[in-house]
Amino acid sequence: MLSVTFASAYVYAYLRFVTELQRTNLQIERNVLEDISFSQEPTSVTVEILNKDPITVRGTFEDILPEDCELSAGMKRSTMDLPPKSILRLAYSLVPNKRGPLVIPGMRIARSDSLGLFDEEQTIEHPTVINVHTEKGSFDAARMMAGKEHFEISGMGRNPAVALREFEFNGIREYAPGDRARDIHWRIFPKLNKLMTKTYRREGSLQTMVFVDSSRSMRLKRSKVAKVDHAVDLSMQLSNVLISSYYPVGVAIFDEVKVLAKAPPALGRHQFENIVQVLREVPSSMEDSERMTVRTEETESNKTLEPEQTSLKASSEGKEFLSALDRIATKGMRPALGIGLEGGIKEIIAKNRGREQLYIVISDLVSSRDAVIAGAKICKSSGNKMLVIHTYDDWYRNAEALLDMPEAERLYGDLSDSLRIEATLRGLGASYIRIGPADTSSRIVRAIRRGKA
Amino acid sequence: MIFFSRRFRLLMAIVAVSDLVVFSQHSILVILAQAIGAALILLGIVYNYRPSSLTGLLIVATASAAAIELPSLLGVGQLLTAIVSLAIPTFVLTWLALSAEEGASTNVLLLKRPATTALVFALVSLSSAPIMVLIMSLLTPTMSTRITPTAEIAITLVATIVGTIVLTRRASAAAGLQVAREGT
Repeated sequence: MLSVTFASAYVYAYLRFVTELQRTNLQIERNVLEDISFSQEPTSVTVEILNKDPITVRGTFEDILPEDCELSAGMKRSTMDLPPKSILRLAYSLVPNKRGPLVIPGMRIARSDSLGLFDEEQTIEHPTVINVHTEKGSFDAARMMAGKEHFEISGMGRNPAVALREFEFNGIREYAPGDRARDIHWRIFPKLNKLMTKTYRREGSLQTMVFVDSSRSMRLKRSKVAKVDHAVDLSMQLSNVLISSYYPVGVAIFDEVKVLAKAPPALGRHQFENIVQVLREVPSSMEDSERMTVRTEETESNKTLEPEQTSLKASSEGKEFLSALDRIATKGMRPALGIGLEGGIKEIIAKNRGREQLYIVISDLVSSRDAVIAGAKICKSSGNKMLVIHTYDDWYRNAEALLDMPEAERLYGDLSDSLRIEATLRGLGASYIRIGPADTSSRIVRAIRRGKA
Repeated sequence: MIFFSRRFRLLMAIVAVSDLVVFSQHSILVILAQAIGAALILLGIVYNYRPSSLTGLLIVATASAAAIELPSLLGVGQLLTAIVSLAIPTFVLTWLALSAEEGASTNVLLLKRPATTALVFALVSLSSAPIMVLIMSLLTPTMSTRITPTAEIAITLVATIVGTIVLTRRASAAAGLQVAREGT
């Protein structure tokens, strides 16, 4: 008799716990207190959890942190009973280890039964994306460079008084009906006895667009610095140098497929903020899968099942990715041509109606090589300038790797390829500079000023 | 769902213990055990301390089960006696003892659906022996339907275990979905 009673009490407790789990109704509000989050700098996060259900939620509430960050201060976990219509507040700081979007996926609650019999882990999805910017030191470098360095490729530097005037006097010509009255040169009318019109041209500073390649090859991290992270730092610092010299600058991010985000060229106080905002959208770096593949190959030889599945999955994903690229590339009349950069350049040229532009492309020329060459051709035909900053792939690899004969051959082949591309680009009138992870913006700007590009 | 205040829970515990006492054989030992158990349960409820309540529950339930005479569960009268004298008060006391710490911050809550399911399950389990006898008599009318008390207990236990597994397994599948609703 007692067994029946206790069993029914057990059944009640179990069913009740299941009901509690199913009807969980929590409103989670997560706020990131910093406007801009920097890599390796603490970012404050507050979380408010409101229990909207009439049943008390018991357990340990824990905000799930992403992989690439660490808790620096505060509590991301709290064990308590959350009564109905009440709020639990958590406040903590996390330190992101790398640049790029950081996703806090949600909240984990280790639920416990109100009758003290059962435990269950429950995950509530509530993603919050924090766009982590590059390290603060990079901003400091940009600030220090501004005003000191001059980017001579864009023409002469200008002082503010001159830069504020949009047009400069160019010459005079005979009056034609339709010319504005204020442009007529009245002073020489008595001498020549005919109307002459003053003509102007826009100031000599080139509008500059910095294109940052964020393709898959750029994002691969093979040493301490990923190419894309270096490119972001460079583009930000170059932009600040140009803005400080009163050149209109914009920035765009592109990958194998399209232009992901852009800020059109402009001058002004907020342009640097706009550029930083766009650069925050650059995807984060990822660990090199080459090492993973080597590891799986090694384990494959040991006849283990699990790594085989991993490598198969990785290779199938890679194949899918490549086939998708092929499909995109072969759609039009010109196969194997990237459309991201080319399309972006064409769009800007169309909008600026013949005004001269400078395009700075920061790329590793691996997956975007054809697009960059196509862009250089467009620039040549339309009378625009292009500077290609080549983040040379081999210089971003781990230097500690053993140099055997096949590796040396590969390095030689890569260098030959790079020289060929350089020759092609220079033939198309583009400037070219090859950089590695140790090259800072100052060095690059100086190299360009000395005509080494 | 129904909310129960602490005062009402104390009243329920007293009523349940009284019910058990009424149907028990009135020896001094039984009354002493029931009094101690009841005191522990009430103290546990008052001070929100579950171990005390559970200890009291075990004392009351064991003493009452030993003191109430239920020779068989096959007769309707005996079945009703079993339900009223032991099953319902013990169930109520078990629930109150387990939820002793629940009422620390709010009133104790009884979810209707799980409670109804548990009660139906208890009734079916208790009447499993008569149902079994009925089925046997329908299927084999010529066979003798005399069942010993041990067989009755065995049938009831099997029914209870099977029912518990079925109910908790079905609920596990539902809980396994883990679809937590996200707030707006």
